[in-house]
Amino acid sequence: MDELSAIGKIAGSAMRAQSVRMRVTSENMANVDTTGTAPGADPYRRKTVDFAEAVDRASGAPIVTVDRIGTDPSNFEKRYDPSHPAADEAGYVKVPNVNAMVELANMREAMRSFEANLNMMDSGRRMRSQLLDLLKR
Amino acid sequence: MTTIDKIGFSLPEVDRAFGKGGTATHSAGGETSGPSFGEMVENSLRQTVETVRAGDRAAIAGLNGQIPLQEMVQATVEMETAMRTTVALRDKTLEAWQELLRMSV
Repeated sequence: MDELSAIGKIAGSAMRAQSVRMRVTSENMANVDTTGTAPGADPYRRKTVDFAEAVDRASGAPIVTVDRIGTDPSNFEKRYDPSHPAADEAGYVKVPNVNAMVELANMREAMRSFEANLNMMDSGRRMRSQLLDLLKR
Repeated sequence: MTTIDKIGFSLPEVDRAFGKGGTATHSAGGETSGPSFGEMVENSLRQTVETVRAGDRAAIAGLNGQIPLQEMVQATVEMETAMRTTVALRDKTLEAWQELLRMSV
């Protein structure tokens, strides 16, 4: 397969993977305050994304895929709020193990990586069209 | 050594157009092996059309939100490149053809 077309596929796979990462980050951000409903129930558990290397069948080039969407096993923090419907006997409510600052950093990183791969795709496309322009002379 | 030499460029249409040994042979009886160059052009055009159709399908699916936006863009770029390659090759071929027509015998 043509190398310059393979660039598009490889960068495309990375962009897709980073989109998934961004989606999971936004899921975490959206559920930053989601507690359980029953007394003592677990709140929203933070999700994580694992990437894996795969091989593109057409070009044989290594691409990236989302291996799995896992969960963060760290402990929940507790907040004292006896009037809350999810409070346990002692009056404590479990809050999600989502840290807004971590998610913010994650979002930035996904964005930068997406942009880098977008530039890669664009450069490959430009190189291809420059090459084709040679035929027009 | 270029990649073409390595893969031993063996399109049947091309082989027929240039004769089996890779050099132009011309039978004395004026008998030809059919419109082989035309077939080759037709085949490559068909592939281009297939790419363009894939781009079209991707565009529609993308507008409906059925496939990731990035996949749609990728298919459209692929379509654009195939189109540009075909048009550039066609222009080049036509130019050569006209050059032949203008040749004073």
